[in-house]
Amino acid sequence: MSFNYKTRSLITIIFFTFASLYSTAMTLLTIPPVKLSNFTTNNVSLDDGSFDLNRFNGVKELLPANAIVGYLPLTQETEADVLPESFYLTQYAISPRLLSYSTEPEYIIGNFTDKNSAQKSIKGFSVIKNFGNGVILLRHRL
Amino acid sequence: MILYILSFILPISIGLFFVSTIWQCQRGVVCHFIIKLSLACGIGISISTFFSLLSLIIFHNLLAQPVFIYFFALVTLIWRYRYKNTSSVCQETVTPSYQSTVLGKGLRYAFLLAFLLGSCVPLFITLSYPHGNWDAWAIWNEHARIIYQEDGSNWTRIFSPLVAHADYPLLLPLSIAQTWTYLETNNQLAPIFTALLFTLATIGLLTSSITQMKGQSQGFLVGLCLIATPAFLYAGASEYADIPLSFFYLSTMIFLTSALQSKDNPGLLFLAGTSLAATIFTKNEGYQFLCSILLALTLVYNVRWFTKEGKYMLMSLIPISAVLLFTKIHYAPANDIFAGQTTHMILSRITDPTRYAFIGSFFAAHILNFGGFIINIPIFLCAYFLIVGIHTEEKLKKPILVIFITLILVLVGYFSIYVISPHDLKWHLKTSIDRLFLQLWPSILYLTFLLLPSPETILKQQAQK
Repeated sequence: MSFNYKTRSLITIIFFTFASLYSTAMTLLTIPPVKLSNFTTNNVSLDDGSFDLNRFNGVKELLPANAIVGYLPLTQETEADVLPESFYLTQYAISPRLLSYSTEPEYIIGNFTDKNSAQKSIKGFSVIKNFGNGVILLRHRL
Repeated sequence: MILYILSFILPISIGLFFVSTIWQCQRGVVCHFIIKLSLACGIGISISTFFSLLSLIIFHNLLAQPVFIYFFALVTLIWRYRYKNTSSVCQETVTPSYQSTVLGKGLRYAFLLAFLLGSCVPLFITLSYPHGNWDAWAIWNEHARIIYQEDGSNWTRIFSPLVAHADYPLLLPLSIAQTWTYLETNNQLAPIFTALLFTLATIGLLTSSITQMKGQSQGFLVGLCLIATPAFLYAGASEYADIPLSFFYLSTMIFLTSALQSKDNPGLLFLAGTSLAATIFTKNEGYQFLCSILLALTLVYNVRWFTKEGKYMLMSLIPISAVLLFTKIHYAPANDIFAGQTTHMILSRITDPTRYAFIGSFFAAHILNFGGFIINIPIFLCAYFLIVGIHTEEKLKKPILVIFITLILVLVGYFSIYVISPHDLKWHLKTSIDRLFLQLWPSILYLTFLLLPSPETILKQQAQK
């Protein structure tokens, strides 16, 4: 069998076609399992869990749409001085209110994952409302 | 769901009207309709979103957008009347007899199967990640939420320093916010539909444009190649602006390639200018692309080209770019790459050879491993080149040279940004380099398959021997 130009070109095209089909099929088969619940609930899906945006519904009702609010906890910044993921997600949840990674604004949103860190962080602030889901609305003591 | 689909029909209709009116083909061919429909998706969204921006700047209200659309339709009809005797390039490259062969049919069915399977990837990922990935909820969808909730009256709040990457262009967030405004709800379906639309439109545009230039089989091959790129399919679900940007890079190159094959194509050049303006409306990388393509055109055709045929491209590029630049200068804060940097800082980075070595090694590693392919497609394409050689028509040589120079300049530009970047270099490269290559990937495939001989050409050469 001679491998002239036409033969080797056609073999290459056929091989390429099957390789592309195989690649596409494998891409489809290896995607993460579909979690339809993330689509129906107001959760932001993360690689290691999810973030419930509805936790902030109560605090949104208490703050005007043009509010600028502070944030707690102020943890050590991560790689390349990027702010924590939870900060950006909280900003996303309370839009169009703007979130400042500081405690300078009059009102502050606390987004805590455990009671101990919450107790430590809120010292020096007045609790306006504790929503019972890790979200606390705070204010500077007068 | 139906309302969301209907809300996209308006911008697509605008795009189809605009593209069909300006780019008239002498005969209707299926692939030409698919090109125009694919173009309509992206160009339509960019035009309608540009008018949303104008309505915000002038009337501080997103609902004033239809005023500009009516005016735009009128201008388009005047253009059509003014240049009605100018025919645009429409090639017939389909070889009917070849399409009935086993290989022709096989490629067609393979492409359709791959398209069906590939479309499911971003769709299924979206069901699990409806809010997209990090940049989607931290930047793009976040910006859309701020614009929508402000209802236009205080829209400049989006440029607050508290907003992440407030300097980023507004095409994607504004198109999402505009959809929400019409539907009076900010359901997540708007960003999802926008992302899927651009993904499918890019596949359709690449496949149909190569079909027009080189024949149906070549079109199916390039479509297979793009669909077989896992990174492209995953990015399609991420709700980032990289896929829309890749669409506009590609559409600009398609318009220019078609226009530069012969003289007297004002419509295609006008569309090229519109598409080029859309790149700077989508991401900041668009400015690099704009400079690169203008430089490439200057090198290949010289400066005088811009005063002759090129003036039609400038006719659409300059007014749109002027508005976008005004928004950037007047409202937007400084970009994070340049903010806070002094000349001394930049010079010290430019003169540090270790940065070049580090970035170069990252580039090389990621080019070789780009895409997440099961079978390494870039290396395969190199082998394919060696086997089948290069075959391109004489009239395509200069346009291909423009594309090639543009891509090289864009890569050089990306490299330069990393050199002067104030961020941790490893972090900056790790989090962005794959997406930068992805922006160029459809255009690289377009260039590649313009150079490669089509299966029809290969068979003809054998028959002639």
